[in-house]
Amino acid sequence: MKRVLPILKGFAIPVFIIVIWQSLSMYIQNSFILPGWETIIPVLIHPAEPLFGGASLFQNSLISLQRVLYGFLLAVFIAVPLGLLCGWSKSAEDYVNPIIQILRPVPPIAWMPLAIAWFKIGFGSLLFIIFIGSFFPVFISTIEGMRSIRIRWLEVAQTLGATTLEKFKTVVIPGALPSIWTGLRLAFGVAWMCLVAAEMLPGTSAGLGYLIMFAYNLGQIQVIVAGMIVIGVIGIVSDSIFRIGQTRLFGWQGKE
Amino acid sequence: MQVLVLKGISKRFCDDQAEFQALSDISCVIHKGEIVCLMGPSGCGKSTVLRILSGLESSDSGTICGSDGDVFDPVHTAMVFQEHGLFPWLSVYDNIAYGLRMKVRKIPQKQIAQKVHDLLSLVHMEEFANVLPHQLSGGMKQRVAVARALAIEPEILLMDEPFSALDPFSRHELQDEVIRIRDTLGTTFFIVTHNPEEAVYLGDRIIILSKRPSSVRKEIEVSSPRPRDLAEPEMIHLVREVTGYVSSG
Amino acid sequence: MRIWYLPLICFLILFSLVLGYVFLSGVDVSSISTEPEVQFVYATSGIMPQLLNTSQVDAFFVWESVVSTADLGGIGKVIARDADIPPDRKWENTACNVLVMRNSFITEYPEIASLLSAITIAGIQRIHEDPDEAMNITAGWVYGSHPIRSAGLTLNPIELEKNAFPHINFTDKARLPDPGYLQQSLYDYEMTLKSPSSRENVTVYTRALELLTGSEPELSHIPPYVRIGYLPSADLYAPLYVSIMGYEKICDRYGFCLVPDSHMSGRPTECQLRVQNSTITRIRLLPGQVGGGVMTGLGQNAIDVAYIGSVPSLMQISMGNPAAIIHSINAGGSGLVVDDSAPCTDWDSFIVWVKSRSSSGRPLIIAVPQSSIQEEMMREAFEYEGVQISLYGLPTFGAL
Ligand SMILES: Nc1ncnc2c1ncn2[C@@H]1O[C@H](COP(=O)(O)OP(=O)(O)O)[C@@H](O)[C@H]1O
Ligand SMILES: [Mg+2]
Repeated sequence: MKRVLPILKGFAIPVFIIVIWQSLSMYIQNSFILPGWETIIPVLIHPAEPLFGGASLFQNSLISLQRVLYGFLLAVFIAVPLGLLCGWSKSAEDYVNPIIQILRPVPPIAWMPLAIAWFKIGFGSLLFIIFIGSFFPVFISTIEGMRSIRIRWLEVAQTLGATTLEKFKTVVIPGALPSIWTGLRLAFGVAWMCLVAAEMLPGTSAGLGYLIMFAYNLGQIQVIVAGMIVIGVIGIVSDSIFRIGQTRLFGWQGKE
Repeated sequence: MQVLVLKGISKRFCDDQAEFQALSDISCVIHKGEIVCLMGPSGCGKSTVLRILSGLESSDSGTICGSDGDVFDPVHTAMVFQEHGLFPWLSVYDNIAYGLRMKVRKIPQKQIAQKVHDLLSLVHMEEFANVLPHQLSGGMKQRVAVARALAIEPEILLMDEPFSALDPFSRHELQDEVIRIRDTLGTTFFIVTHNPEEAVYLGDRIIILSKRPSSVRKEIEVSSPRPRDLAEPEMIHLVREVTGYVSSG
Repeated sequence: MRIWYLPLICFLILFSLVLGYVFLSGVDVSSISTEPEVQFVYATSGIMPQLLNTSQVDAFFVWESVVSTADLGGIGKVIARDADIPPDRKWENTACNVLVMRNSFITEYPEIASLLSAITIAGIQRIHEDPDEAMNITAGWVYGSHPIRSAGLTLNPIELEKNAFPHINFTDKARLPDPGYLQQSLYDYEMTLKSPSSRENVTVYTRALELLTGSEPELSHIPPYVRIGYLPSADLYAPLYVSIMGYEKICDRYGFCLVPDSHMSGRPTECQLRVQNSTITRIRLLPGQVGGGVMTGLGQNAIDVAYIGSVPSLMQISMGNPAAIIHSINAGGSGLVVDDSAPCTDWDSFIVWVKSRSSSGRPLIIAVPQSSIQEEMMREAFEYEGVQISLYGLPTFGAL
């Protein structure tokens, strides 16, 4: 019961919203403003049925997820080593930091027109947008992680005979990992949002963002709401995977 | 037999703009199997001496020789810090095995396991092998830190105020532990402390540094048999003497 | 070391996703036919010249003045206009854009609805009476009269409109298309089954014609404002632009007109509906991005009246959007543009190219605006030519 209660509490407001939504939708009687749940739920419970003659809700989600993972992993494979380098060497940071700080505030979607010209419509430009979106959180929290490493740990490693490379492998990386993990978690959330936004732009032919835009063009608001729900659910599931990973892997964090 | 001979060690630090002499001329000798306590006023450079010996810092002048008369190699030392410095992401076992796994040691896996188990039982931590450090008490953490340092079989174990952050009970336990380890393994201990009772209880010899720029002000032999009782008048007298030397700088 | 599990976990997730993707898409791979094929890319009109210029698409089919921009701007050549698209000159006189109003607006303010319709028809008349003025107004509205840069050339908007206008037939009498192929492409979506009350509202149009022939407006019930949605990037809405910017002649002739608030801007956002020199109500002009979006806005009570493509409005009305088409604005005005070096000069040679590229395994990629009459035209034309359509970027999902 003690474990169930918080979960029940969490469900209270969504249920409340749905009830209010449904009553308002029955009152307004305009599926363009508030589509009833009797039209939204059928979309959700038939995820494998093709929508608008194209991919199904499930396929669209899978495609979006796949895109986001590719872009995210690409960003991780570049941002983590670069962050480690910049955290390790002051000179590297001096070179890299200004350009990073300039590019960081630019919303990833603003890159879309250029991305289409450089990386072509479809997968290439989307990958780039996701990459831009997830690069900065990972990069910055990697540097942060490097800063959070205690000098004492490095000294202990040295007195126990660690070479520079060994110090890097056995102290720097595990010491920075909790912060990097937090960065990954942030980055995945950002990447997911960027992707859906980018998919709404021209040149895509599948994905949740595309589905929402298509439904918008056809005035099918209930499909838009279903798409939003799936986006939210995937977001919360991926975030809790990261959160569970955080407690499992880095239970020591903040307790040394 | 001498394991360590320091001759005329000096060290300057650049602090922001000002440059100042921390150690001016430190000379002393440490013998095999001795427990030597290093004392001195706060900021006089005790930690600096240990850091130079452990290779974390270099001296500006002077020589450090080992048992064979050659230049001393910091590889033969291990260090225990005031705050245990355990790696929080490694289990007790892995923390102890850390030094053994470094490439320089070339120790096969099986032997490492054997050694770690021996050390765990030496510091009475067998049941905690797979526990992460944050689940241990302060005293237990410091035991693990000692075991980790002992794992690499140092000729001399450097300890920088190792027990000062512990509660009195754990501190006494660990002090006795040090004596027991010295008796069983014959390890040489060089312990920085600011606690005169601890120095008198533990030390075969107490070296007291002067104020900065520091040099050796006094060496006191403590020849009372062990186990020592700090309540005995002789001990009380000694504590008072040491306190006097330290506080008058 | 436990940290090395992390890359492993990441890899496993990725691997299973790829596996799932391959598995799911693999189901349809076997059913891919050997018929000739083209691929569609959905794009907004503005980006199409860039896509062609950077060889990301082989052709695009869109409305004026984008077609003329590409033509005069050295980006490509126009190989087919509406009349050239099969089957059999069908599209020449088919409504491309229409005037649409929300049913509740028509019911509540029938006279205002008819007045707006009448003013639009007057705008169409003005275009035919004075094409030069119409071109000037349209150039100013769409481009702001500044020279346009395109692929290294600088274009004069007026020249552009001179190139575009002959291909557009502004008329309120074009018949509505049947977006059957588009609807068929959404075959399995149940919403298509909803039967609309009626697609057209003849009453408003009939009354508008009366107003134009001298009947007095009866202004009993008046809304505080009317919101009009349209797509500012297209020439095809010239009747709207001309009726507002050339309001004086219409006022003089009929006694009612739309007067822009500001005479400084070539693209006003607010104007007034005037009848016999007195302001009846205010009009807000809301530019949209795509026709479907404007139509959805209509359904959401955010827009009352819209000038948009016939196909998006018909599709949404058939799916239950409570709106009705009043009359057409134009027919024609689309163009198929390919690269200058493309091996074709007309529709027939284009189809030859389509087939040869398809058999060489690199089907042509064609950009069209999503759910537009242009998409419908292309779908029907390719069906007629026996060419299959798939969506670019998603070939493995089969019957798209
Ligand atoms: N890396 C350093 N840079 C500058 N000054 C230092 C550094 N390390 C120690 N010092 C200074 O040297 C003096 C001796 O330090 P330390 O050996 O830590 O003294 P303690 O005897 O208290 O252990 C202190 O004044 C300290 O501030
Ligand atoms: Mg100190």
